[in-house]
Amino acid sequence: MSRRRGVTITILVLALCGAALLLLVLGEVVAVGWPELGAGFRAGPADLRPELFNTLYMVGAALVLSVPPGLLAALWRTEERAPRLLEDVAGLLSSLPSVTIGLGLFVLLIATSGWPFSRAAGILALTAMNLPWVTAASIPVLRQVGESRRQASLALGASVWATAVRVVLPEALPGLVAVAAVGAARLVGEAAALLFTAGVNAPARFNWSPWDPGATLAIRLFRVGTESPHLNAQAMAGAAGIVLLLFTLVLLGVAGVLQRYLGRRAGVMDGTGRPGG
Amino acid sequence: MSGEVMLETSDLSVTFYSQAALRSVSLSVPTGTVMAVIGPSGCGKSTLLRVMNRLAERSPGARITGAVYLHGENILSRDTDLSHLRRRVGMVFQQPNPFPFSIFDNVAYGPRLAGERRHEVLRDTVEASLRQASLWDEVRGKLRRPALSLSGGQQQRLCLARALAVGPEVLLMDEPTASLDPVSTARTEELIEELKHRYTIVLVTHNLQQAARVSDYTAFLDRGILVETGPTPVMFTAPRESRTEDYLTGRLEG
Ligand SMILES: Nc1ncnc2c1ncn2[C@@H]1O[C@H](COP(=O)(O)OP(=O)(O)O)[C@@H](O)[C@H]1O
Ligand SMILES: [Mg+2]
Repeated sequence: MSRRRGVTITILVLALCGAALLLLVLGEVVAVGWPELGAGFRAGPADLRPELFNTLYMVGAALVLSVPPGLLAALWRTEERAPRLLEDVAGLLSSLPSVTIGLGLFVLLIATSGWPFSRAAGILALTAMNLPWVTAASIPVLRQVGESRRQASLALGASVWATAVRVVLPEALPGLVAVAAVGAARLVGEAAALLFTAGVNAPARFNWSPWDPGATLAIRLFRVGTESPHLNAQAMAGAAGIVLLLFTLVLLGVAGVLQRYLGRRAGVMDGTGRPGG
Repeated sequence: MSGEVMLETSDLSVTFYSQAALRSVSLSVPTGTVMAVIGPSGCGKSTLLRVMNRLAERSPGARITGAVYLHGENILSRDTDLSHLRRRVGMVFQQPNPFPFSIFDNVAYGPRLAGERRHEVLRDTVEASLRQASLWDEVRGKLRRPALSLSGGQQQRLCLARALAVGPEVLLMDEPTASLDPVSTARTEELIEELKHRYTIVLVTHNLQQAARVSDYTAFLDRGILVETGPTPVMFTAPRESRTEDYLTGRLEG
């Protein structure tokens, strides 16, 4: 057996072991949570719907608040040649432990300014996490757009920003969708930054108020799994885990489909984003 | 030929991070003529073109001194409107670089940028530009197809049509046939002959025969220095400088 093949086989075996381990762990979550999954969608102590709603609400709002400015900052760096410092700072901030962001906002908003543990505070924490991350993750995606197309656009009299909107963004769109989706998945799974900001409770009755408590699925999983007095607490945590996993899978799946669709459409799209002709 | 000067560089120097790319180049291009720029690779040909539409200053570390006059107006001045300048001075690059849009949208890109929204006007401009680039017969009825589905030679003519659609006075062509097969190259050369009645053309080429065939004037650059310039027939038969003669006879390649 050649050395090359030996290496390939070793890698394959390791990958299979890793996949098996992951399946085992995920299978365990599913097995534990399965009996309580139905209860998660009925009124009662095991009801997951308030946390599911909070997750959608807060992650959605945080994406709206963080993706456009993050993308703008990335464009500023790649198209307007903003100082390298911007990229370094975004990279640094996005690798801070998220628990420190939660703690900082807790001190600033809740301990000092009297905010309640709330969806609003949680949204700010998620936004603070995602903004630098989107900036740092978008920069390489924008850089992949060929410099030759940028120059073609400029040579036709387009400004740098017109070039960004008509040439760079359409070409980078599939990659940017992936950035947004992975960012969203990170936020969906986030617990540390939300413990001190959104709090560990969900509102008893459905409402849209940003000042109500904002426990998400990930927080519920953590809380119920570690400190609930319920006899079937593990099963309830498992149910939250199943919904969390499904949520993330659906999110990434939809993003993948959208990405492929946009990638295929790119060949016939014009600079204004409409199919032209 | 009116004898009027369209484009003129005066004492033009360009450095990239203090590496000289052009050294004090003074060159004038008469209106309605084809000026071929020849010289060994790395001698500054592309840089010269890219100063003429002010793309060179985008490169990190670029420093440009001297002047470039378009109709007597210094385009290097601070208050030049770059969009306006680049609509007057079009460019075709060495590698075809169509946008990943449809054929139509590629050619309509410039007019749309300039604010044209009327479909009939855009359609007429697209057709006229594609005809001028002698691509119309091959793509009529297929304008919604992706530009990237065209062959290399067709893509280069599409890029030419895209530049023409903006209505330039000057065309800068940077080795436009370098990546094309001999048939496409011959076609492009014929095109240049036709276009010179309407545009002033600066053609960078590596191909001396091409320079001899299509240009009225030739400029020979070597290591950033303009060694010699003059009417093409004179340059090719009786160059004044020995360096020019060496290059033309193939003793100075590199
Ligand atoms: N963007 C740039 N940054 C640094 N050096 C450059 C850049 N563009 C060109 N140069 C240098 O300037 C010189 C002239 O380049 P260029 O104009 O591309 O030559 P040519 O087109 O004749 O081959 C070369 O030495 C090249 O390395
Ligand atoms: Mg060159």
